Amino acid sequence: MNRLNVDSISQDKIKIEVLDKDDGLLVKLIGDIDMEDPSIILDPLFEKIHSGMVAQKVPFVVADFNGLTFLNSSGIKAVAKWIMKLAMLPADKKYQIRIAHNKAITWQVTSLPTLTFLVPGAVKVE
Amino acid sequence: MSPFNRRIAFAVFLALGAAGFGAFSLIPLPWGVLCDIALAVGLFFAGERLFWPEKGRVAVAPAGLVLTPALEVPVAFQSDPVAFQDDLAEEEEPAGDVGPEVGPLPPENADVQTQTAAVEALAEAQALIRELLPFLSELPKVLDQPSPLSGKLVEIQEGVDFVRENVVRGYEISDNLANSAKQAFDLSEKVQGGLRIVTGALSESLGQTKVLYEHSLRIAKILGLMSEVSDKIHILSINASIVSARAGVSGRGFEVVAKEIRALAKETELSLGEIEEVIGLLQTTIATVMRVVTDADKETEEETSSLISVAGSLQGVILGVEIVRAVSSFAKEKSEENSAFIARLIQEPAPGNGVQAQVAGWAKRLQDYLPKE
Repeated sequence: MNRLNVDSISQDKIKIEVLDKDDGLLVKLIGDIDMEDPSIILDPLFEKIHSGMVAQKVPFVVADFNGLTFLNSSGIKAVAKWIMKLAMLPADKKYQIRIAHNKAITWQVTSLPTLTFLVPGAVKVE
Repeated sequence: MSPFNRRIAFAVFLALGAAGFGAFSLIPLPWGVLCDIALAVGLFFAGERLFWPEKGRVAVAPAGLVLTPALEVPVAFQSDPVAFQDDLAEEEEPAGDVGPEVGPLPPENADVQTQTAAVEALAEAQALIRELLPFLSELPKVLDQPSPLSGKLVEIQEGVDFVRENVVRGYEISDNLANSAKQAFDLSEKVQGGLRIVTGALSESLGQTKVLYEHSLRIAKILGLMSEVSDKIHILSINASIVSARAGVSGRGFEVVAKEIRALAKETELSLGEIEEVIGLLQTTIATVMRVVTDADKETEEETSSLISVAGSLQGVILGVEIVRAVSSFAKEKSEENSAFIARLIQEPAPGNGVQAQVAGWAKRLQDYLPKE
């Protein structure tokens, strides 16, 4: 279990692990997100992570997409929604989202950097 | 003290004063007379203060001289100051709604200065009311005027609506882009499918060509064997001719057969040579085909890989556009909320509404405080 007490998820073709990483948090996405409505599992998970990060003042979270081979548009929408919640926070409550991606997977290279524009400075692609 | 006792006490007081008057008369003129006058005046002032403090008016002089700062000493006061005071107290009772209640003055403490101050205060209040009334009359008109803020709110709402419309346009554009990217993605998927078929066909062709090549090799090998057989037959026919020549006349028939066999072997040798040549060409062609198919297969694989990257890029574009759509949608919702909020602000009654009647009421009440002209 991690410092936020958020459960990991393993459903259908996707596995999402939530782990501690140094002073922050690590969210590992492994597999495919190709279900019709992934927001059913992603929205509550990201909400728990977001509220926990703010409440416990955790400085950063690493969203690791390296093991994610496919992500559909509904899935990226859930990720964007999470990041926009971060955008709405006052500056003193903002935490950092570090997106780790696989450069061999073209869709990740093309799409994930776009997320950095939503909250400049608070979202980074590694 | 009753009025009668007061008068007696006043008479005694004056008698004592008269004694003093006599004493001062012994002083040589003119100082004795001046001292007498001063004593008399002082006595009357002091006596009045002592015995009729409630009225407070300087009134009586020994020779009936009346001295008063207001120069208005009522006759009733001179004859009966206490009764006059009571009458005055009754007159000072407020009659109806004539102004703010300041409370009745205690009859025992009322004096001329207090009344004068009250009159002055009333006059000042009336003057203030006269100054205030024009403003109060104008105030409802001012409050009826639209607030300059409402004009600004309309401008802000127009600005917000403009932003919202542009956000909607941006959303529609991103929607269009997403659809185009989706179509391109689907097309690339289709092409990928076609390429997979082509790659499969090329691989199959390559396999079949390899089989053909192997068959041609076997044919060449068989041809080699046949050539060897033909050579042996040829040697055999030569040997047969030699043997038939040794046999003489009896061997002539055998000689004819040997010749035929030798001719056959020669033809066979020629045919085998031609077949070998064709097989060689065939093998060369098959090898060329194999090389071409192999190159095509390799190229197709690379193209398939590129196409997969293109599809990945298109998928990335779809996701990127989806992010833009999500942001646009969020901005659109916020713009609509702001626009609705500003619309509510504009429609809300101005802060002055409802106050006008109250202000008019105040003006009317203040008007009532002024004397009727």
